[in-house]
Amino acid sequence: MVEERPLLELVKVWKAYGDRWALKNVSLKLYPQEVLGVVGASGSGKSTLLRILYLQEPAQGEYWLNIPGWEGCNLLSLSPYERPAARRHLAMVYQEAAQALRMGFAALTNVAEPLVLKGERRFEVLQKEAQAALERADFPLARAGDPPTFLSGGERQRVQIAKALAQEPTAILLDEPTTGLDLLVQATFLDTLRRLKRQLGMSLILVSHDLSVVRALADRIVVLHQGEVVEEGLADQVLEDPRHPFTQDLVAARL
Amino acid sequence: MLQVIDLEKRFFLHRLGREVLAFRQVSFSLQAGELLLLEGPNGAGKSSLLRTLYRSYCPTGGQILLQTPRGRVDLARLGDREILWIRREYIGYVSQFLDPRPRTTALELVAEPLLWRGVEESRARQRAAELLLELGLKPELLEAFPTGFSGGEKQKLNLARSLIHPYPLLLLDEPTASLDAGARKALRERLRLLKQQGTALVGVFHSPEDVAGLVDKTYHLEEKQDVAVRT
Repeated sequence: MVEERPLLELVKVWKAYGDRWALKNVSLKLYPQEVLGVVGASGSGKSTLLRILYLQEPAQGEYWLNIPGWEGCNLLSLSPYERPAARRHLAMVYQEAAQALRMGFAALTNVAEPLVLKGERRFEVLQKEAQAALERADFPLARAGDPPTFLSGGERQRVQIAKALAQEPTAILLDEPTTGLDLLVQATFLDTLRRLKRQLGMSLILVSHDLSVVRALADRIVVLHQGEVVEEGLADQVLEDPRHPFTQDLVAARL
Repeated sequence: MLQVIDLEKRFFLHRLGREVLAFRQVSFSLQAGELLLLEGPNGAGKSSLLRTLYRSYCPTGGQILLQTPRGRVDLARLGDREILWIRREYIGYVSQFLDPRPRTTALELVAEPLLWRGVEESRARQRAAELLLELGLKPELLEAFPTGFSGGEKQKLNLARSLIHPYPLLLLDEPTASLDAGARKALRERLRLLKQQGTALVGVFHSPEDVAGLVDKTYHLEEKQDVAVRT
């Protein structure tokens, strides 16, 4: 049948804080042009998982990126000095934009930053590419000169997406990206993400406690409970035919 | 084309600590261009069977053998990624109700399966519009958000989304329940055409007239005998 290699793969990852296990034997795969939803209650290990995926924390296990230059390299064995080079292939979109953006600098400047990090110095090129990224993220260009402090919650998330796109990452990690947005803004933001997946072939890992958001976007879902993957499957299957007791309770609690 | 052998689905409800049987010992086969009508009382497992064939439910026993140009596959055992691919290329599924997506217009919703296949956007929208009008959707609703549509209008979108691409296998779960006479007639004509093109159909229908003259086989699901209790 279809032989596929995952773009990104975690194999048997363990992580402890003190004597408490935050992640226990977690494995997951992300394939090209796929949205993988990660759901779970507070304290289930979602944030830890994201920090490990974004190479912000050490952990035991294996982490593979199947892209040229990184094949056969377990990212979890990289030294702190080597991690930034690998992290450049990943982008993170946070619930709180201040974690990713410089709130006092123009949106355009924020988006141009990863281009500068890649070595681009020509002003016209930076401006043009940053504008293109903002447009792809459906951000109104008329406001490109405004700093995020002056922007609404939805606009800030679009700046984050544009910044991620400018980086041309292998995968975008999204941490509760729509939490705190009103329903209308949330819906248009999800539309943008769906279009990026289709038109740019983006691969996304979407972490959310909101099953409706995950349902609207994810192809497959992984359910985390007390640091373990208790269930994984097709998005509709996990939500319509949940098998683990925790998933059954979670789905039953959906509005 | 499709061969179902001893298919079974049981749910284990942890909260109740017991098992619920949806259906068991279901076997039938279907050739290209044939329509199989599923019959049975409420709760006999008709919808569950369709969902299992689409793999929204994971079967607890049996086989679902589907002939594809790349060989015969068992949907009961395929991995998730392969199921996603098979669905996109081979299987259409019309549910009882449309799950409208916020802020997505009728036209966008119906054109989407074509966009996924790489059809150019204006062409996809044009084909979506033609199909929706054929099913009797009012032209002024094409660019509207379906959240506010009537039940019948939503169902037209639901149908159009699955009819816009000629899937080799089409699963229909009471697609006509909320449709008016005109739309039912249009659907019947569509199904006749699909059969001629070689699409195999499995469906539950509200009334026999909806598929008059189109049914090749009938499968009767019995009322469930065993509701096993397991602790």
